Amino acid sequence: MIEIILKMLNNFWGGVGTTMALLIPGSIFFIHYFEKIEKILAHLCSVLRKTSTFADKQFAKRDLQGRMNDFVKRLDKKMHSFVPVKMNIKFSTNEDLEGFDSGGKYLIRVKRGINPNTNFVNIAMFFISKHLLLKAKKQISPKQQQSIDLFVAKKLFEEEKESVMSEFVDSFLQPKTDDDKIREMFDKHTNSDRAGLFFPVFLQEMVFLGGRVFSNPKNHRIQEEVASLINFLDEYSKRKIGDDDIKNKFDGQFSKFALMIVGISYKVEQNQINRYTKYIENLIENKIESIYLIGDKRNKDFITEVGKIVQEKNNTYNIFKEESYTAAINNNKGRGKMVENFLLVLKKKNPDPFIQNHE
Amino acid sequence: MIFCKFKKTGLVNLIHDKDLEMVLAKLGILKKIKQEKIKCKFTKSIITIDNLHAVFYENNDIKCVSSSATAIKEFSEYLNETES
Repeated sequence: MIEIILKMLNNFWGGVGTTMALLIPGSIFFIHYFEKIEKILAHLCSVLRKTSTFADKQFAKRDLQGRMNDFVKRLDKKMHSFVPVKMNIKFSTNEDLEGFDSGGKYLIRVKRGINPNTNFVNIAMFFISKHLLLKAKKQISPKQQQSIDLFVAKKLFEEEKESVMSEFVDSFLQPKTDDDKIREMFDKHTNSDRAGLFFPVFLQEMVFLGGRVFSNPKNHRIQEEVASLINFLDEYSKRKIGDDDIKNKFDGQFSKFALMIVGISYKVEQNQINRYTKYIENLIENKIESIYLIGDKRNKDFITEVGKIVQEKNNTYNIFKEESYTAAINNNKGRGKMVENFLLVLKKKNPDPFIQNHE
Repeated sequence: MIFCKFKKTGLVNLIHDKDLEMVLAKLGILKKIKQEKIKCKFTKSIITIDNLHAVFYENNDIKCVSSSATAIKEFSEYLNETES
């Protein structure tokens, strides 16, 4: 009898073990690749959407959520202190309108019978304006916000659903860039992104700025400084190979950072490292809070060594981020050339969060 | 990182065409829309069932947005200006 019970228990736990062996990695796969699964579901629903309301709703929901959330996950890798917001779509019916009259709730229509790309663009733009990068847009002017929204939306559509670009251009990009200021900023964002600076430097600094508490928030001095920052990065992005004399320090009142180019292929030699570390220490003495070291990927060891030495000598700064990426730089004829770059960011550990900025 | 790193959820409430008239009736504006008595908050054009793009609540009143390019553009600017 006891033998029978033990045999039954053994079979049971063996079964449980097998189930767990499949369930745990399956759950991990499901959670990690959920956005990819949503995109597949959207494809499946697209077949039936013209004849089934359920399929039409699921197509809109999964297509948008899958693509937007995948994009937001990638943004999270590009920027620190960024708040990744997950898009969650809910179709409202007449039975679940509670709380609508307390404000802050918007109902966006999904129109049937029109190009689904139009619905996609409208809803994606709503989400970007209302929910995404709020910290980065906190202190800046509405036009500066719109230029960021437009550029981030363009990147989303380029990376996730290129087929919607013409709807985006017709409905948002062209009308909004009729405003000269917005168009100018959008063009400058495009230049700094080509040089690999838009997300890891500009938006990163906007996120840091948004994390601060100002005695006089959203005033024009902050917005003027952001305008200068956009111009600074635009000029920097136009530099040519070998042009190491370009102004590399942005010493604003609210956003204090420097870009340093490691432009020539160095062997890891002590005298060259000392030259860079001394310059960085000078920046630190001048209260620069973020130092972006950028160079050819072949200089990765050199840049890393410089970063480590500064971190060891200054316990108030640490290596915040290291990243390899592809960027465009101009050759001597002014033509763009794609290069593999390496970025290392040194950041002050505890910058003062409160800034007095009276008019 | 294996697990989702999302720190917040941004809820987007949509109305499907199939449910549109029922939702508008529940909000008490279906009749007014059919009588062409409601105007777009941004362009002041007459709102119809066909051209309705969005609905939201502001200052104790329900506002409507038309689907014209101008209205959608101004709606997104309005979203930038209002706190989330």
